Amino acid sequence: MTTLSFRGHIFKINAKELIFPFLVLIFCGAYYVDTRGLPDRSVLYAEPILYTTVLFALAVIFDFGVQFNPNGTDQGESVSSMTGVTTDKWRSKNALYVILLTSAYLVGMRIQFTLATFLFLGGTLYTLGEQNRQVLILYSTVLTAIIYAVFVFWLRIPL
Amino acid sequence: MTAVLLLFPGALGTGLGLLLQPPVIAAIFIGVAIGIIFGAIPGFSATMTLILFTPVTIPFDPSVALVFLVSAYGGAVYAGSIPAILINTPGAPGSVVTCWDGYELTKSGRATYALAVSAVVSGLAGIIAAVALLATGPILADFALGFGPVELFLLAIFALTIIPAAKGQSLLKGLLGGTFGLLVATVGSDPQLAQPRAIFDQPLLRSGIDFVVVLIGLFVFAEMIFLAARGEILTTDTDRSDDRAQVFEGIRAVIARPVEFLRGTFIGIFIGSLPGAGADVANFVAYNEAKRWASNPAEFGKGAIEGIIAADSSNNATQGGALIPTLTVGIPGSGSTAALLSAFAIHGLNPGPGLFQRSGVLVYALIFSLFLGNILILVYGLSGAQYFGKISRIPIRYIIPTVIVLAIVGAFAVRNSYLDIFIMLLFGLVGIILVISDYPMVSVVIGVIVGGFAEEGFVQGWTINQGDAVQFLAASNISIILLILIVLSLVITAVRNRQSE
Repeated sequence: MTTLSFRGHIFKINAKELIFPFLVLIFCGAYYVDTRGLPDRSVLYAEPILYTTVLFALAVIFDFGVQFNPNGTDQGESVSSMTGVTTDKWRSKNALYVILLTSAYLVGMRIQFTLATFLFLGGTLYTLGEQNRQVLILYSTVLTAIIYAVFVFWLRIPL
Repeated sequence: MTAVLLLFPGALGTGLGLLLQPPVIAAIFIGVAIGIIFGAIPGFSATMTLILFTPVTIPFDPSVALVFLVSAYGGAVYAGSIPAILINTPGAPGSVVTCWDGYELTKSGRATYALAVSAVVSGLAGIIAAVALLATGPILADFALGFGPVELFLLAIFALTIIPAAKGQSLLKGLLGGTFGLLVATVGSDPQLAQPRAIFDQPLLRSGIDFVVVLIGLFVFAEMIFLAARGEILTTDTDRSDDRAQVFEGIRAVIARPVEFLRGTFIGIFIGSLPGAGADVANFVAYNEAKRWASNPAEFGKGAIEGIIAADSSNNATQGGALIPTLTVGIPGSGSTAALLSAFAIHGLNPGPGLFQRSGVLVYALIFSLFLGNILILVYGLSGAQYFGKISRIPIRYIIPTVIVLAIVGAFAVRNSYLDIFIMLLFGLVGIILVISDYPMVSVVIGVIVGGFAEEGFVQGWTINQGDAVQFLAASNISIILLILIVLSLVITAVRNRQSE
């Protein structure tokens, strides 16, 4: 929770609650720009949905994300409380590593699916705590072979 | 049964005949087993099992593929209770409550007893729910035939308004998630003039965003990131006795408590049939009711067998309950049935009004497979109790990379496009934000799913009623009833939200 002060008024901002509505607003903005030239009949349904979504996003921001003068007009609150965002942090860096490895895998799989899959499986397993080299190689090899056999060879998915 | 046979003799008989074909029977046996194995892995829900196995079923005949998936669904819903009992970690959100008493029994060396009770109530509740689906499904689907475009639009809106009420979450957040889902569903060519909307120069998006991709992102990728953040699940080997006597004791415990069992089952069927409210809601309600009526409420949470009976009967009864709106009006009752809905679409089965007339044979076969699958749950559950511990102890670090690769390949397989993988990952990240900020994730999913027929209904209704809003909303008695239900749902949830503040 971040506390801001402006002309004697206090705003408490809950950054965690702002992320989704702001993402929605960005999407709505992009949607509006992309569809503004279309005939009315094309957006007969989409337009009211778009505006309703914007309204709900704003309502969530003001209901959950921003508190105006919380606890009455507590203007004597110490500036020391303006310490910035203290939202929940990841309990582990693992999640971030997995997201990064997945992003790298997406790039790699466009070059060589089998090799990228093998490296991703081994790399992620290692990141998540498996240290035994034989297990890492065996797991990655067997699983890559199964995935290749099922999806590429049997289901003919052009990976 | 005789009355139902008299009402639907042809389709029922042929549906049974279809079920007796060897490949279909094999699909039930394998489906239930796979469902149990994957469902018993902590963090691996029925939804994930269905999403990941759907691409594998593509080469098969729709009857075999869908019977397999429905059976796996039943097995996975039941199996979520296995790790809940053995290692105090629910396999799925619908098994959270099972931990409270199940793990206490495991700690006192009575795991086999708890697993036997769980298997018996799960199997029997699933059978009753399948019968309820068989009894009400055709009637409701027939009734839904009377729905015009306006009614379908209002039904979609009602489905979205009821989710926050059922989940006990914020109305505003639920509505934001729902309308965001509806908006996402409008991406692509509009149904009237085929003009591209919000495709951002991506030709593939002309055909819209496939909801399977959204499902994989929200339910699979996001869940894997949470599992990675949580790290390994630490388990201790508890003193477990594999005494067969405990199995029979478990059976006797259920027979001695028919009221507790039936109450949980009917709560599960009812709550499961509400759009978006699945086992995660049902088992909390059933547990609370069991505790409220119990002669020994103080024992709940300390190994009360009534707690497991309430939790698991309601959990498994949602299987059939959630299929009622899924099959009759095409609105999924839970995340798992949303995944099933995508599988139905892939295999050419279009749930909604008139389904039993169009595809009665296959639908009856699916309902019968749910019935048979639950008998198998009883058999597998009682005979395999001592082996389940091994499945529940598979380390999470092996699950995460495997599932992520399967999710990525699954998203790609939808339209053989890398764009779908990026959309899946985007929704995965959205899913993480939704969970962290306590949004009902199922609102977004149902918004995306019902978006298509909501738009069609709105546009047709608006055109028929020449843009007159009052005439549009009061198009028929059904639409007025739906409108009242929407208003009631909004008001009740808003009042509840205020009270909880």
